Amino acid sequence: MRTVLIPVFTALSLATNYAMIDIPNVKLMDAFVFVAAFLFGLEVGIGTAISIWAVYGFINPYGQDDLTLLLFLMTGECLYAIEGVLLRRTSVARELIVKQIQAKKVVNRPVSYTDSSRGFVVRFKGRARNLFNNARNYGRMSLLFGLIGFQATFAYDVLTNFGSWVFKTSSLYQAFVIGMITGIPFAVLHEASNLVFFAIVVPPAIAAAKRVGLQIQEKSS
Amino acid sequence: MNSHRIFYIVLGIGALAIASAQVGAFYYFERSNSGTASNASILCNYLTSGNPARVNMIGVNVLISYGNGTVKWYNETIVPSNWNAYMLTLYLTKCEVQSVFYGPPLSEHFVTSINGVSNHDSVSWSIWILCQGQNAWAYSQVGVDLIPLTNGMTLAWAYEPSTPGNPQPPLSGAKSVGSC
Repeated sequence: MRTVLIPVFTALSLATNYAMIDIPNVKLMDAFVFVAAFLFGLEVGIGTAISIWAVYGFINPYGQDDLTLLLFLMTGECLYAIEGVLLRRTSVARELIVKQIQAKKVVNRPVSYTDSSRGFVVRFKGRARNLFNNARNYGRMSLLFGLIGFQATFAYDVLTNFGSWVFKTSSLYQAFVIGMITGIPFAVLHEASNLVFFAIVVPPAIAAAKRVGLQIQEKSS
Repeated sequence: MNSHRIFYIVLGIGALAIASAQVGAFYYFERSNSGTASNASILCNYLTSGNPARVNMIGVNVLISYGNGTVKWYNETIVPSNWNAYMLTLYLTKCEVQSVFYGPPLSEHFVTSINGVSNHDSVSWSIWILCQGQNAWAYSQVGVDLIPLTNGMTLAWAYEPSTPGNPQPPLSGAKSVGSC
């Protein structure tokens, strides 16, 4: 059943990739791979990552990638899936998501009007407190996912830039250094954009998915 | 300190380390890309100070075409075999060469002026190699620092409009090929 989610996330990622084709290295697909893995497990995440590059690596206005670079790109994309699965297992992420869902339930809970003279003030204070708690939880989720996305993107950029140079230089170290330096303009743009996307897009997507009852596939140990 | 706080601290330190590494890489990238204008005075002193001892010497031919019909040949110039084309150019022109040096990973000179004739607008200096077997000129696919010298080799500097798709050979009417 989970395999049907792979083409869904792949299609979503490819659609946004082509829509944002004019902005190099600014893509939502990394966030979608992360969300897919976080919510539905490693198989969905990795399947999505590989499927995206199987299409995007060949049908691309900037040209086809050679097979070596494509392998590095697919491997790098899988890093987002791995980070999603690893983060899902941490108590930090679970706690934040539970708090976010609880805060939303409190906000939506109907208020009783037993004392009409103080009803408005009580209601207003309650709403303000709930909004504040909601914002604080959301802020923490944004910080957590933003930092995780930033670091995953750095790892992706290092791997793919290394892959661009590994067969053009005389040593692995040289490939690493040259890849880091020559790839820096695009890497900075990529990391900054993913920091923003992971902080803004990923938390509400995950919280919304949890609220509507989407289940995370639990593996038996 | 609870484990969540430690987790956030580690994440924050990791992010700061990455940001620092990227700033360093960006600084190095900007420095190497901006180029350094050079008239290569130190290299010139070395090249014009006399024959280096115990180095094989070879004879090369160089043409400098100034684009207005003026050409000058430097035939059978005897130079050390371990020189590259940039060093040869400096030697022949008595260091009347201006260039911009781009650091690693390129580590190359981009020649902007030879004997007082400088690049301007779309006209610039380009280097050609004579393919002996084909008797045709080939536009060099590598920078001047990466052209090694061989005995009997013929090179040419041509001052001409830059036409990326169809560069013109240094002598009018001469044949050109994609590579030797």
